[in-house]
Amino acid sequence: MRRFDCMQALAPMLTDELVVTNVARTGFETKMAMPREGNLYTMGMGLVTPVVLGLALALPHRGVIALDGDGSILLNLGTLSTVGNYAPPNLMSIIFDNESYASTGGLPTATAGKTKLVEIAKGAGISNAVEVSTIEDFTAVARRAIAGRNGPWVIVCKVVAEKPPVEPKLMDGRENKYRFVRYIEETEGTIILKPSVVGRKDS
Amino acid sequence: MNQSDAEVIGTALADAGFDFAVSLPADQLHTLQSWVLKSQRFTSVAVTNEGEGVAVCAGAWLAGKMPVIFLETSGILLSTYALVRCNATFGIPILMLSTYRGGLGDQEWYAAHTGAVLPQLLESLRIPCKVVSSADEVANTFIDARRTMNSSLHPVSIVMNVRLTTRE
Repeated sequence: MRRFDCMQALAPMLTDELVVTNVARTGFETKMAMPREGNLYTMGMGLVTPVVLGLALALPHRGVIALDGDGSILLNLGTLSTVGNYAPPNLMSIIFDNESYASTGGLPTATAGKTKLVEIAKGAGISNAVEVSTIEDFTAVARRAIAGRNGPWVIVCKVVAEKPPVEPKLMDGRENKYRFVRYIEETEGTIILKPSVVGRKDS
Repeated sequence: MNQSDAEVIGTALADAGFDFAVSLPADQLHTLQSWVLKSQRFTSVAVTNEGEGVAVCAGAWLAGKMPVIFLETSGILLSTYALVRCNATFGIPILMLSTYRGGLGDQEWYAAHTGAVLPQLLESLRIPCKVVSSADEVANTFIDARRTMNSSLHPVSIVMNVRLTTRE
């Protein structure tokens, strides 16, 4: 199974969900498969699922999705415990597990050895933790997770390590952040960015 | 920190607009953390490490919350990667409310070096910092911190000195 195939399968399922992606190729492929204002690309290693946890707890009525990776989640495994303890039903963490640090030369991760991320997630109290290795299984689980809002979900996708088909047009994190926040402001009917006191009462 | 100061500081934090609190183990802050945990004015989250906590706060801010993270001094050292890669890179503010272990008056040898590097560490991260010594002073500083967070889109640090956090 290819990561890009999963993203192409996921894209038509999404409406107003907020998506945060891992670094490098996961971000590129997300932008190619499903360019959306509700995407925040290229969050740092180990920070993807925690940022999504903050979003999920702050916006409990809204679906939030982490497009994480094996190397990234291994850097911050404790966050699975936090997700398990707070159990936000609107959170889904899709972990693309290619058993390697593919973007930085291909050194193997711990999942190339004995580590099973799905078992770690279950041990952290996340009962909706599954591992999939076919696009059919991924599509069925993702559809069930998005429709049900009965998370938290951890979907470990066993994928091959590869380069993305093409390189997308990039924007830097600041531009992406502003657009992401403006999208949340617009869809939530709120004001988050307050760069000046002019015209504001809550100074 | 004594109970009275904890209540003053917790109330002031909420009055200043902070509504999302992330907690980590901090011996001198446990009364404040307990007060916040019981308060209905905060969404409270206990996390497993400081980098995770900073990232959870960042997600909450992106969603419209005004986040604060309670940190031990050594926790600031642990959080530096997340502060740079997440907050500085994307421009996401959070309030870091911490102890000052190893600061003037600390009597524990193991904290001395942590306190010694703290000012330069925060300076190198370009995080504005104010060291405060009384609950009343902390309260007033929260409003300034929120204003700076809004305008700079960068973390702000308030460090409570040893006399405040160890007062009986």
